[in-house]
Amino acid sequence: MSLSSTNLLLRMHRGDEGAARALWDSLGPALVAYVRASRPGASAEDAVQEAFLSALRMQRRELKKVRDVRAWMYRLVRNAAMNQLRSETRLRAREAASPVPEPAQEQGSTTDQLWCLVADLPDDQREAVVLKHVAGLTFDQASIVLEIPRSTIAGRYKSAIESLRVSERAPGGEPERRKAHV
Amino acid sequence: MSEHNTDAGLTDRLEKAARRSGASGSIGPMPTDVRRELAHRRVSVAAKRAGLTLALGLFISAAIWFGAESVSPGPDDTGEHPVVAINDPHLISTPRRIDLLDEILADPGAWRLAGRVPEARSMPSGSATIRVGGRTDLEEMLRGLGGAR
Repeated sequence: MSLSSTNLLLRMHRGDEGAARALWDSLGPALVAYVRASRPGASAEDAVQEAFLSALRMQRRELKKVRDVRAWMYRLVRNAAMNQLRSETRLRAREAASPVPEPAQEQGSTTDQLWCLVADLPDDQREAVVLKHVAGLTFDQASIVLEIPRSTIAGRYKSAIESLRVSERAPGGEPERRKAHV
Repeated sequence: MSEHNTDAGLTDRLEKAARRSGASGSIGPMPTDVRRELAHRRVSVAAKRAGLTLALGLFISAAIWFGAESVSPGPDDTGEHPVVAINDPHLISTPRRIDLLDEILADPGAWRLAGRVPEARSMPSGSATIRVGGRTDLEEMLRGLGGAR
């Protein structure tokens, strides 16, 4: 299945459940992980569902313009998550109803410590890291998701890596940050 | 720190951390709302196809209908003169209409012509009634309508 093709998307738009399931199964887990990592306050599953619904409700001519389905779906999910967070009422209700699921973490693992440092990055840098490593997108695809130039994404990613390196070197930095997220 | 301080080491560990975050995990079945929307899309696509078929059928029926009946004599409002209704000037050259036009041209003063004419197309109703004063007027008008004469 080629996700760069719009055929699957167009088939889904016609109501083809097989095509929808293929998109859901192949993109869904990474989309959920992306929202969890980049928008911790949002309900990831709801955002992904909302993105699929908005894709289904779009005009067919809009879908035909989509060149990179994967990047485009990330953009829909991102917008859905941001809309969710903007809705104060819904957010408060969600916080009261159920805590946001966090990825399983092993105490003391260096990868978990690193992930805590990622969570502490400024939003734009964290998003660049998440799009690259969680979503597995290229900078070109990330620029489609965020609707900003590729060079800006690359700059943010570079700054993020530099910040992470500095944070790891800082004495006592890791435990403090980890404590805040565990 | 050693290896972790290199970009390569850092990005490798970021990949691992990303995997732990669930990016490669599984997701549950499609939610009911999505499946419902898919069903709605299927109905919508089927309805659109049915609508197009119906529209095509209506168009063909209308073409057949107007092709047969677009010109027809009938009584005037006052009952004094026959009326010719021309619904489509492009259909005026069929043999039956030519016969009828011959009849009109033979005694134009006795006919009133009602129908759509080029000059009247901008009118809201799309049609107009033209009173024919004499043979010359009628001939000119028929020529304007695309008549064969």
